[in-house]
Amino acid sequence: MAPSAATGPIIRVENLAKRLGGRVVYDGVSFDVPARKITVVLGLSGEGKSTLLRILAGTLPPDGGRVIVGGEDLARFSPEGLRAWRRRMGMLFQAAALFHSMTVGENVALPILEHTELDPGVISLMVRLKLELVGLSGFEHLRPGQLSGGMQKRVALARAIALDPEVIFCDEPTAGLDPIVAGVIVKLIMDLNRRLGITAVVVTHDIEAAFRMADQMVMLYRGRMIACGSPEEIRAHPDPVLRQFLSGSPEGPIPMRRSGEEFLADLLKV
Amino acid sequence: MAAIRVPERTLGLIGRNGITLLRHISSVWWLFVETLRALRQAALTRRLLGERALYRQMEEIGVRSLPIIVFIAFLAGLILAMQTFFQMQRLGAQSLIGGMVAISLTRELAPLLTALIVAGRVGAAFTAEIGSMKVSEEVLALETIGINPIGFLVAPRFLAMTIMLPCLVVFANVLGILGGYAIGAGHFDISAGSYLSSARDALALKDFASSAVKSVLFGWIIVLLSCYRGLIVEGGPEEVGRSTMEAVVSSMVLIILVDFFVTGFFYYSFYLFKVEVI
Repeated sequence: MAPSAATGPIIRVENLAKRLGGRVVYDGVSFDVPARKITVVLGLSGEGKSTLLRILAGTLPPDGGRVIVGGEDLARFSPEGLRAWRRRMGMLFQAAALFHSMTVGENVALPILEHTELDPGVISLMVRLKLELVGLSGFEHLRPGQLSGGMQKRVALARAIALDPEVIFCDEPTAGLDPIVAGVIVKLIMDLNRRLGITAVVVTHDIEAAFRMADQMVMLYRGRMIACGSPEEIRAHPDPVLRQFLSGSPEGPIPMRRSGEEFLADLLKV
Repeated sequence: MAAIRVPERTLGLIGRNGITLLRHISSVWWLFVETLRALRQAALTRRLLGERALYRQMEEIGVRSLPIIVFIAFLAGLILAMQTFFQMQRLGAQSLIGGMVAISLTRELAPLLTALIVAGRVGAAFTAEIGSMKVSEEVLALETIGINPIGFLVAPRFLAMTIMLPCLVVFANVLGILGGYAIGAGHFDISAGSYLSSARDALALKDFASSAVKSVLFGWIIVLLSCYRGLIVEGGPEEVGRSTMEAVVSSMVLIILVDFFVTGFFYYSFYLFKVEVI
């Protein structure tokens, strides 16, 4: 696999199309994920943003277009190639998705156990380091069920970076958290990026958090990309949909209240 | 010409359900093959990541099911002995009770009762556990870590079930025969020697073979159907509950269906084709 250049794109999304259950989720989305930068994907709820992360992680095949990682099409990766890609990435799930039958320490250790042959002593040291990084050292022996939502998310972040990945995918990292805990998570992601040079792809509808951490922003609306650029460019972007999304106004081109006939016609439209 | 009204709705319903059934069957078969592949992989690399899960599952399936299995089998032995005593007495063949009880248990009741109890006790737990893992994205998390969920979740349970269900059936056999003895010797004055020798004489190697085949097949049915139902859960907690119910019911139906075929194979086909194999 070609080593990713320090500044080139680590992932390139080309003309991505995806349907789920007959519904068009993506229809021709293209953007680059620059290495060592934080890319934030914005979109309304139900816009299929989590689906995007699953496609990038290679757990869901796209229906059209390509996802290019290290110069190769992700859909054509061999099982070994895919395994190698999974080792280079980490995923932070919206609901943390910790394994509840295991302790916190075992959760963080699992990727290390799967991908390396290290001694238990080394592994437990790595686990301690990762938990230290998210400010939860000493919690190894607790169960995920004994932690608060914010702490679970921090453990999930520690698990996602257990193998020092090049890329982390974060699905709504701040959803359902109080502002302070949300701020902690955002700061953690930014630290990982600034200090360790981890590329991050963050999917969110939390605008404040998005502008705090983004180097690049991508706005999705109705299966298409309507804007892509730096936070300043996005702030100054003239697109009315984007303007409405950023201001959170109920008035604008994004329909919130729709009549039944309109909705039906929309559904039947091919 | 009188037009035959085709009940389209009914036909459509049958067709759709038939297709769903076929899809489920092929998926369960696929799961079986993938599980065997994962086990082979684990044997080759000498590491089963769910190793601890294997011991936990063996304890759950075997050790923790043992009290209820023993209790039920003992009762079944008591009931069998009571039911048969008066019939046998009419023929003056009370001394054959031991053989009667031993044959009924080994050939049929011990594997069947054990499997049905384990389907309700352990199969339900498998579906519920894997189903809630699916709903809370833990299965997806395994995949993104690069761990094969079938190797991690299904393979240890499959192996544990394959080992433990036959063991449970052996216990059920022994306790059932003891139950029959308790009635026979304790109440109907059959001597211990004649009860046991009758039981021993009645059993043929074929009976043990069919018991072993049945217990392994029933175990596979339970583990595959319950894990499959867990893995295909979509949605929320109510879906987990419904899937659990479906897993238990379909396991029980399939167990009895397979019981019919295995019994037919061991006892009826030999008789039918006049072959003496064992």
